[in-house]
Amino acid sequence: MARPVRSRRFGVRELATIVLAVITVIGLAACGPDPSGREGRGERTPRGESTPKESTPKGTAGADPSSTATTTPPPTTAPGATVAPTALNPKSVKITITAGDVKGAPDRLEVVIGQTVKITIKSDVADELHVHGVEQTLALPAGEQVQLEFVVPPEPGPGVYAVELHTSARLLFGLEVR
Amino acid sequence: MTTLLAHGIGGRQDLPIPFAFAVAGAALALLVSFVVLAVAWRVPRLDGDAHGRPLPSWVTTAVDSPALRWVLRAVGLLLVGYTAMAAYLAPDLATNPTAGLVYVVFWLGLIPASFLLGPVWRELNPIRTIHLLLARATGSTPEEAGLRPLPPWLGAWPAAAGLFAFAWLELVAPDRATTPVIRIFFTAYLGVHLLGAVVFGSRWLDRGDAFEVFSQLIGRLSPFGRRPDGRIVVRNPLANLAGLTPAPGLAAVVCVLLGSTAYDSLTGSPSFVRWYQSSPLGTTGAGTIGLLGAVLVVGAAFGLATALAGRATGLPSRSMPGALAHTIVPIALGYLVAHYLTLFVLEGQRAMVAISDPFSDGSDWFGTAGRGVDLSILSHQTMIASIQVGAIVIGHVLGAVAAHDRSVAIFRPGRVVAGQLPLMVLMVAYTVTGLLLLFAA
Repeated sequence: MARPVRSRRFGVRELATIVLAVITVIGLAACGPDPSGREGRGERTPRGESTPKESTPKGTAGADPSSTATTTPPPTTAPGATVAPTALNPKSVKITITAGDVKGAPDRLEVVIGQTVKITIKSDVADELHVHGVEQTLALPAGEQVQLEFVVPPEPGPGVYAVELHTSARLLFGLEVR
Repeated sequence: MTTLLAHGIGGRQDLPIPFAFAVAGAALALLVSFVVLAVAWRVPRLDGDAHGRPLPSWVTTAVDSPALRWVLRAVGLLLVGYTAMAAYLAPDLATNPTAGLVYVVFWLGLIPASFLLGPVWRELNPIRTIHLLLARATGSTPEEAGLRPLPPWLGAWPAAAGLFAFAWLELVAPDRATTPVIRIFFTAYLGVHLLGAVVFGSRWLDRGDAFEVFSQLIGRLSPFGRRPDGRIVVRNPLANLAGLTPAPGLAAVVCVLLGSTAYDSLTGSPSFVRWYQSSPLGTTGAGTIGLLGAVLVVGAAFGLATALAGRATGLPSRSMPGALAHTIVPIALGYLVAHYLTLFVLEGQRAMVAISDPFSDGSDWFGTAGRGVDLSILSHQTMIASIQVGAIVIGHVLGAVAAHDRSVAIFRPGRVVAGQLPLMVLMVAYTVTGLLLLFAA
């Protein structure tokens, strides 16, 4: 195990170089064209995000809040394309809860800010529906079909919000706001 | 922490990261791993606790001065005393600050505090202060106040158990955001650790108190450390990390940290939640098994990788987890940053509002009661995703560098690559899993 007496130490400079290199690469990834993020998650429907990013400055790509609020068609479309009309069609789900068994709930419901959401729901026991973040609640009388309709507000903003039943503490689905 | 807080933005998770980010992160991690394995240095360069640039001696004098120590102890008692007041005396409403203080300000706040300044909880820990006062009252020093010597095999195992218990409270326990549940946990925690300190002396807290050990581990990535003579120095955080004294169970602490964070992320996936909510074991039973499973998978993978490293190099496999545990700390920190950054920013603000009116009676103790929560971080989604991936990848890179340096230090020349390979594969697996969870869960 003979070793040179003096070994160069792995110093702060080397550490900083590595960290900077990683940040640069991530920054480049953030600025580059981003087709796969949309394509890779196939079944998902229109995105609210993604203004074309090639021209955006490094590190702040897509940071403009308005880009989150407006909707652009899939990334193949030319920059500056107008809002796709289908994206703002209301999103509806119809859920039935029987003996604790949830039917009809998606994993995620993808919506954009400004879009209308309609949740039609019927529970065999009385409960309360609660949509986190946008803070919508609806009393569910036992065995009665009721509907909650709301427009996704700009606040709190993008994120995945839990849609749950209060009394039985069940998660129904995630409201994915972009 | 999906349903941590009954109202407000508690039930929020970050958007999935774009697929390109996940792929870029994984590719980078792989690339760096191979570069480190193939072309990096052949003699150890991270020299642990021996070196460092000493700060002026008055810094050490000031930091070690009894006056400052007592101020810090008083601050710790005040913070915990305030939380106890909110937990025991204030009505258990959504506006009660207890849950926010415990899960966000204290637990998540320990991360930046320790990362910037070192093992801060040791100085604030009220259990240590109470024990010190007890020891003074009986006329002994806290280290000697114990009735028995601390068994060496015990190491950090009590901390691993304590951390698991806390993770269970935070992620699985029914009604975990309510004050009675938080009260029971911390009263029991205080009881166990005060007893431990009385029996074994304050050494018990060094290795047994989950929050002290957590703060020590994260604090090892801070730029501050001490030389053997006690002088405070500034040094490369990786050298600081390499100076971590191996102890039995320390690897388990890191695995609990990583496994519980991964579990928290997994429970953001509705299909997973629906599966465990409809499980015959009930939500709590299935959640307990899920959390335990996540920790065991992380731990088994670590155990397997270190056993393979031992076998490949002819070193005793038993010594391997201790010698390599520190290399997982940066990866765990990366996971924590990626998963809790926005939660910390948003819920931390909410807690700052809530502390002004603990009794929900309209008072404004600190002038923050009327403040709203600044949500502007959420309009920077690309930045959030970049920070998440960056944290995971930087954690991986630092872990890989630490592992390489330790490998060249302990393995025979010629067996270094063979010994290092299992750990590299393990790290890539942890990192890719972390990125996958950010993308899919």
